[in-house]
This record gives sequence, C-alpha cells and structure tokens, in this order.
Amino acid sequence: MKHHLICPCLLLSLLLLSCMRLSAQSYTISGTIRDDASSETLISATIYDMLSGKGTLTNAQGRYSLTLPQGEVRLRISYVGYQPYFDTFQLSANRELNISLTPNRQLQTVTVTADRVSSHRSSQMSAIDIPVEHIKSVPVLFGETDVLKALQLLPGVQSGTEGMSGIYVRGGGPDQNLFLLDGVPLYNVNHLGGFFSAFNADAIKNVTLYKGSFPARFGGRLSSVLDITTNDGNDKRLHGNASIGVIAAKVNLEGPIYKDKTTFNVSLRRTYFDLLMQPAIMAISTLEDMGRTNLGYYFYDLNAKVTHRFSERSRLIASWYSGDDRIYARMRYVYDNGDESVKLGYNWGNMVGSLRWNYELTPRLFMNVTGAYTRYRNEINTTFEENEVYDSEINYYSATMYYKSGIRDITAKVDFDFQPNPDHTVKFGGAWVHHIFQPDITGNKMEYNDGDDNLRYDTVIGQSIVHANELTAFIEDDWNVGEMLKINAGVNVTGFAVQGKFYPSLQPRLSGRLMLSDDLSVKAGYSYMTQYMHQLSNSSISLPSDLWVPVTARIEPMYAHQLAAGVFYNWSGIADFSAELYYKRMNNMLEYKDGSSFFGLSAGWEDKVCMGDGWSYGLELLAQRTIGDITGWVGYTWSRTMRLFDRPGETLNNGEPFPAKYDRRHDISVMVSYKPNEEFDCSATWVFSTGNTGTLALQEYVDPYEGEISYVSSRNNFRMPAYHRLDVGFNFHKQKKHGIRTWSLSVYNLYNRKNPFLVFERFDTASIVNGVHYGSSLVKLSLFPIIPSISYSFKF
Amino acid sequence: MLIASLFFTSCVEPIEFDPGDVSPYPVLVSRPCGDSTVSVYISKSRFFLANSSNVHALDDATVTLTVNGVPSAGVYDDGACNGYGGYLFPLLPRPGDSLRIEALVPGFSDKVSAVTAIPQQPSFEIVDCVVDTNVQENWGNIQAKIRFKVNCSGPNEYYAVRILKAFSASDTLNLDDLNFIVNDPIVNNSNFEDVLDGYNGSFWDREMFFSSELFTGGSHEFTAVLEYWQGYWESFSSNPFTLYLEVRALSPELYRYIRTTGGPNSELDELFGEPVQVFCNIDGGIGIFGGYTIKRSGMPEVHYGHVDMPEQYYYKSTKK
Repeated sequence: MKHHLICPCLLLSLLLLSCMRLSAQSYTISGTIRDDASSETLISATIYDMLSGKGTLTNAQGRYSLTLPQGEVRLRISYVGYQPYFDTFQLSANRELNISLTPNRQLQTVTVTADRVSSHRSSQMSAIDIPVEHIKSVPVLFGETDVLKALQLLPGVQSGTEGMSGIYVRGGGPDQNLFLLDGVPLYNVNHLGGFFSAFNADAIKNVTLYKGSFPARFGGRLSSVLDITTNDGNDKRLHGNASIGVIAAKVNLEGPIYKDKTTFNVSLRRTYFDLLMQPAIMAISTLEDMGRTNLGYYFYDLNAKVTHRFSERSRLIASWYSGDDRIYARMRYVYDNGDESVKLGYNWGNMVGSLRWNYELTPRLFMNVTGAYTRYRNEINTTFEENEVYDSEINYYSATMYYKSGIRDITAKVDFDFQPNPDHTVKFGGAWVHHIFQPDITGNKMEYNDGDDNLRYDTVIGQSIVHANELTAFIEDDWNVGEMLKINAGVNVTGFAVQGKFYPSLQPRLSGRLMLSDDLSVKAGYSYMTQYMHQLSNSSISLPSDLWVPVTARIEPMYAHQLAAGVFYNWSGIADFSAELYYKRMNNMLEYKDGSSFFGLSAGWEDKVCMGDGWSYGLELLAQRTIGDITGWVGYTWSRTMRLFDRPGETLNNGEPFPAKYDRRHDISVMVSYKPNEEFDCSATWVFSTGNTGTLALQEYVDPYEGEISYVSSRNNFRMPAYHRLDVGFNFHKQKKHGIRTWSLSVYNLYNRKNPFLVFERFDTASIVNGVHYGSSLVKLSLFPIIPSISYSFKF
Repeated sequence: MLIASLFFTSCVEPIEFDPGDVSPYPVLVSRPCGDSTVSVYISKSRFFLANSSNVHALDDATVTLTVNGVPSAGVYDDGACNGYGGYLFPLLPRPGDSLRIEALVPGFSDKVSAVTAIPQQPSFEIVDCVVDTNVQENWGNIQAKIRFKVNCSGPNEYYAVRILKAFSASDTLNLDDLNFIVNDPIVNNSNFEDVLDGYNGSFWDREMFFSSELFTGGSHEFTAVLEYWQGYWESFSSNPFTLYLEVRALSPELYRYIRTTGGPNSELDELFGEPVQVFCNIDGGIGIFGGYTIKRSGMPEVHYGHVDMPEQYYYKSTKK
C-alpha cells in the first residue's frame, strides 16, 4: 500500500510545484463560447493564441480561461462546424471575452474524434466525442434514433445481442459502464428490454465516451464512462421540433423564459401503440364478454432543464429526467349482484433530478456545485377486488400483491477548474454519494368482510434495505510540458462504506501525448478503476428485474488496470487515422456458477456467483473523413477477452481460462454519410462481427449410475455464426414557411441477413426410433429481418 | 404489439454450424468401493446431433486395474455396472489403497487412464432419534428427527448421507431411501462452495452431500428431519422396521462428479443459467473414476402399530 501511494504523491507534488510558476506580467482572458443561433454553450471549443502557441478548451459549461503574458494577443476561437473567430488586441489587464460562433452551413462535417478540434493534439486518448447531428443521421431499428446504438458502431465498443442497446467496452461487462446524464448517474439506460436506450437525442447537446485513459474526475466503473450533456435551451426565441415515427412520437421545445437570462428546454418521447390499440382492445373485450378491459405497454422519456444566468460568471441549472416503462392491465366485470376487478401494473424506470451552480470565482478558477438525486425502481402491483351483495349484505374481498426493488442515490459534489497558467489546466473536487439499495421486497395484503367476519392479512417479505456511503476526491492536471509533450496526470481517491465494512481505493491515472510532427502524435495512458457495485442480470436481454447490489464483506470491489497506447495522424485536416492498442486486466469480476441464474429475487445471490479475473487486449483502427459532402469512417477492432475463475471454492471451467461471452475476434463498422445539398442527405452503415460465444454439450454418454450425461468440454466452447448487417437511411428536408420539415426513410438489415438472437437445440421427441435419435438440430432464432420505417419531423 | 410483431417477423431456422471434430470420446465410468468388487463400464460417447443411439457397454476393451502397484485384468460381465455390462476385477481394494485404471478401447488409438484412492471409512455416531406421530407442520404428520454427528479427520474430505428404511427389521437387502431435510444454521448460512448439494434448509432430498470444509475439518452434528403421511408409514408398519443412517466417504473426484451431474438448480436456472460442466478425471476420454467407502448404522427397531402407537416415540441411542 505504501508503495502504491508514493508514486501518485510524488507526481502530484511535481504538478503542484509546476503550477506555481506564474509570471508577474501575465493576465487572464476568460469567457463563454456559445452558438450564435441558439446561445447554447459549446463544449471543447478551442481558444488559441497564434503568437505564443498557447491554447485551451472550453469546459463542460462552455467556459474557458487562458492566461498569457502581457502584450499582443492574436486569438483564434474555433469549433468544428462553426466559422472561426479571430481577434487581435493588446493584453494589459484581465479580460472577459464572450464569443458566439456562427454555424458554418457551407462546410457540413461529421466527426468522431478524440477531441473535436484535433484528436492527435489532445493528451486524452481512448475517448470518443460524437456529435448529436451524427447520432441522428445513423439509420437504426424502427427509425428510432439511439445514442447507444450509434456508439456501437465505433471501435472498441461492441453491441451485445441483436437489436440491443447494451454496450460492451474493451472486454468489460454491461454493468461496467457509467452513464452520466448532466453529471448524474443513470442506472438503467434501456427501454423495452434493451431494444431502445433511454436517451432522447432531441434533448442532447454533447456525448463523450471514454473507453480508457480515464481522467481522474471519473470513477466508479471499470470499463467506460458515457458523459451526456443535455441542451440548455435557446435564450433568444422559442424553437421546437416535433416528430412521429413507427414506434414513438417526440416533441422538443426550447426558448427563453426571461430573455438572455433564463431558458428552458423540454423534451418528451412516448410510444403510442397502446393508445392506438385501446379501442380495439375494448371492442374485443366487449365481444368476448370480458367486461371492461384495458391493457397496454408504453415507455416515455421526459427531459427538462431550466438555466438561469445571473451573469456570465454565474449560472444556476436545474435539470430533470424521468423515464419509465409501463405495462398495465385493468379488467372490471359487473354482474347482477356485484362486480370484480383486476389491476396489474408493472413499472420500471429512472428518475434523475439535479441542481447545479456554476460560478467563476476568479478568471482562473471556476467552481461547479451539484446536488443530485437519482433513482431506479422496479415495481409490480396486482390487485383483485370483489364486491358481492347477498341478502342485502355486502361481501367484500380484496387481495393485493406488490414487489419492489431499486436503488437511490443522493449526491453532493463540488468540482473546480483552475488554470494557473496556459500550461496547466487543473481539475479537482470531491463528492459524497449516499446509496440506498433496496434489493427486493414482496408484500401481500388480503381483506375479507362479509358483515359478520372481518379478516385482514398483511405481510412483507424481503431483503432489508442496504445503505452505503461513497466518498470521492480527485485532482488532475492537463500539463503542457513543452511544445511536444503533454501529460494528463491525476489521482482519484475513493472510499466505500457498507455494512460495517470500508473499502478504500487510490486510483492513479496518467496519459500523455508526444507530437512527432504537426500531424503525427503518439499517446499512451494508464488508468486504475474501482467499482463498488454489481448488476445481477440474467441474460443478454436487459430485464427490469436486473438488480444493482453493493459489494459485501464477501464480494469485494472490482478493479481494473488498463494500459493503452496509440498513433494518431491528421491528414491535412481532411481525415484522421488512429491505431490504439490496449490491455486491460480486471479483478474480482463475477460470473454465475454453472446451472445458476438470477431471476428477480436477490436472496442468496452471493452463493450463485463466483469471483474471478479477466483480461482483454486488442487493436482498434479508425480512419475517418471529416470534411466534404461524403463523410464517415471505417473502424476495425481485433480483440480477445478471457475470464479465469480459479480461486479455491470459486472455480469455473475447471479453473482453466475461457473466452468471455462477448469475446469477438473481429469487429468492423463502416459508416458513410452523403449530403449533396440542404434538401437531401443519406447514410449507410455496415457492421460485421465475429459471433458471440456460448456453451454447448457437444457429446453425450451413459453413466450406469446417473443415466444420460451431457458432456460440456469447456465454458463458451461454441461460437455463433458471424453477425453482419447493412442499414440505410434517407432524409428529405424542405424549408417551409414556419420551419423545416423532414421525411426520414430508413431500412434496417437491407439484405435481410438472419442474424442469430438465440441458438438452441431443436429436439423432436417423435424422432426416437428404437432408442436411436433422429432429427436433432441446432437452430437459431432471428428477430429482425429487413425492417423499413418512416418518420416525419418538423423543426421550427 | 411490438413484441407480437417481433414474434411475427422472427424466424427459426437451422444454423450453419461447424462443430469441428465430432468423433466420439471413449467413456470410462467406475466407482470402486472399499471392500467391494470393482466394476468398470466402458463405452463411447455420441455427438449430440448425431442420428444414432447412445452407445452402451463395449465388451472388447482391454482394461487393467492396478491397486497399490499390483495390476490385474478385467473380465467382461453382462450383469455388471447396474446391469449395463462392464469389466469385473477379482479384487477388494481396502480403504487407503491407490487405484489406477487403464483401458485400450477399440477404435481409439490413445490409452484411457485415471487414478483414484479409496477413502478411509467414515466416522459418525447417531446421537438420538425421535419419532413424533402428531405433528401438523409442512406436508407430513409423522415426523422423525435423527441427530447424528460426523467426525472428519481433516480438510478435503467429502461425504454423502442417506437415511434408509428396511421394510422389516431384518431385511437389510431391501432398503428404501427416504426424503429428509436438514435444518442447521451452518448449513443454511453456508457460504462455501462444495459444501452441500440440494440442502438449504428448505429443500427435501434423498441424499445430502457435504465436505469437511463446512466445519473446518472437525466434527459436526446434524439433525435430519423426515416427515411422511401417516398412510405411508402404516403401509409398512405392521412389522417393526429399522431406520438406517448411511454415510459414504467420497474421493474428491467422485464428489465433484456427483455434484455436477445433478444439473441446474431449477427450471429457470436451466433456461437462463450456463449448462453445468460435468467433472471428468479421465485422461484420453470422458467419465469418472472415483472411489468411496460406505458405512451404515441402524437404529433399533421402531414399532409402529395402528392403534398402540404412542404420540411420541423416543430413542436415545448408544454410541455406534
């Protein structure tokens, strides 16, 4: 442990000393960079002094701070897709410079870069910044824009099963991804079993995915951080967007509440099939004498955000998200002397609320204070009621059953951006999170009253609520060591207290970039991550019953070391090429024991799992064109992901290594977008990946004492057929009097590839003749054939 | 509706499947018991999609059993191995003996081999036995509680326990194994793997498996509870009968094999869990070669008459 502490402490001391180097003749330029049309703040815009060669980027709030020596300054402020802003002036005092950039309509670009300005210049590697416009242009299942499915097209990010939104990053599991919505964790990011994600693209401003080399400000998951920022809202005039597709209808409104001071942004998405089907269900139930029946399913997402600007230096932001899936059924039957009714409700979903205050303490020091509440809950309620009149006496009977599980977090955090001089951008802060785990509670109530007898029964069974506290402190510095070398170093310190046990963790992070020429750089990074909670889930399908549980005295925190290195090349500002190698070692991972699974009830879950290790390594190649009518990229990943469970009493596969379920040797994705003019654009994606693994008993034999034995040689000994698919999409835009209307056509799985969703043995019992088996076959279930879809949207 | 439409559009069709080598493996199954004749079952496996029946015993193999370095050849017998046919050896291995089996199976070039040892006799004692005829709990109204203590001499010892009933006190050849349950705080709160199989305080079964890890190599006292409907007991109650406690000491390999042949814990587990990987210790083939010893101890006769039966029958055993 001592050895563990020495390196980060030395590193931090060095960084702090270097930050002290302040020139007496230096002054600070600070301000906010915005979109001229919407006044939305721009994240990661570049502010660059062409004379000194110093520069910086805007932070998550669109603020920047650049300290330069006294004298002439020749600034260039740029952001991809916007016309750059140039300014020359004499710097003789601290200066506030707020700039609004104008979108560049002539130079439409689609970029996926490690940094929007120039991926090869940033010290950050293994990160993907994906513009929302691009997410919207990716053709997807049922035409429903999906952030996570767009991310699945990128190197190092794998999809799980056909059609699912889950992401598997560099050999990690689906519960190893941290999803942050405006800085607050979201625990369940799926709708409809994972076919759709919970993120409504209309509400989103910025999406950044970190796959490795994690900055110290992030922690809590092993494999990735998806940082999503929602729109603040236009502060000049009311804007909106409404659309209707095959699955859902969406509406987005934004505008000023108080001009130039307070803005709002509200987005709502809801599926509508249940509403369409209601008359038909009512008619059928009447026809079939089923009483008054109503049933259906829907999901919705509601994003709301209000931003109040006290001044350019002070903002208060209140944001809200709620998204639920709901299955409901109601039936009421009235007969001569009474009535009976049945109600079923099954709800699951998230709710997130946060209040943030951004304040610029000094031109060099920016503060962000956040209070947040997040909740995921899964509830089932069923009620049966009966009223009956006998001889003028009313008999009443009711029975209610409910099930609840979920997790709640209360968060308080403060973080600071500090730029002592142009060579350092320091971020530091701390957070306290109170987790409330409610594993599962089942309740039964019964009441009977017939005038004479009165019977009541009320019982609750389940696991007790678990409280846990997580404390985090971090510091990181993005340090220009010289013209060629840039380093991002930091440390994240966490402690997790649960059930009388305290787990501390010190997580050093380090990444660096060395410019070999103006266009070519090499980068390397190391990160250590710890995770204090696990998600108990069953299969590749995301079920609402998937349950988050904390570490326990027996189940220790997961932790991972990841090393990555890469070469980045920018070709004349037209195209970017990158090659990254990574190696990740994961410890204390969980796998279900042979013959065990999880289905809703958490009792005894520790006995169903084994704790072991895993590792993953691979090569990720990305070539992308960012400018012109035709843009897009080709990504390729070669990877290998293994698991080893060989601890005493925790063995799987006889203690031998075995491939992970989503171990895939090859992953290819091609994305091409073509936009010849403002009225038409189209895009196509093609994906190919090696098939998932699975376990099959390939041999059978007879044991005279035990009967017929199915023999499994090893875990995940079988590989499904390769997965590939082509999707295309076309958008037709037209300027109308009050706005732009768009017809979108898309075709999912254009060449109707029957990709496997499930593989199982089909066994015809009638085909056993004199003990001889005939007709057994291995079959696949394919869910999605060619699926065309259409949607209409209007933007004003 | 969406789910319905998915079902409508989904399809099931045979998979293009390249399983690689689907040729059968030689199979060897043998459970040598201390002080008993050793029988060995030899056959071969079948590829699970093959249009063929399960292969039964092969009678043309050459099988050699070596006990403490002394080899002997097996002779095929149709009635051996539960009537499936197998090779018999004129040996009675003793507890503590080391055994090695080797077989040359026609059609397979490599020799099949495995090793095991005969564990020492298990040490246990019956503390007491209580039969209660007037209980109204769970699903039975006749209840027997047997307290017994198993003495382990060290770690890595594996046991199986059964409770048997002789139809009459003297008929030890016709034994019926009974369902029982173990209510035990250690058993119910056990966090150990390889400790118990099928017993968590709420599950009735005919055999309990555990390892000495449960009580860190020392002794442990169990209480086994049997419950039956009165009619079942009455069916054999015209004569006195005897309950037997049977403890088998298992070799580690046999213990792991038996545990893994039990399959998934439940139907849901079968649907959603990973298939259970059956343990195998056969070099050059599949199957099991695992020794065990057996010890059985009877409780004095239980007299259960239709009319005269007292409400509670109590027997305090002497040490066995």
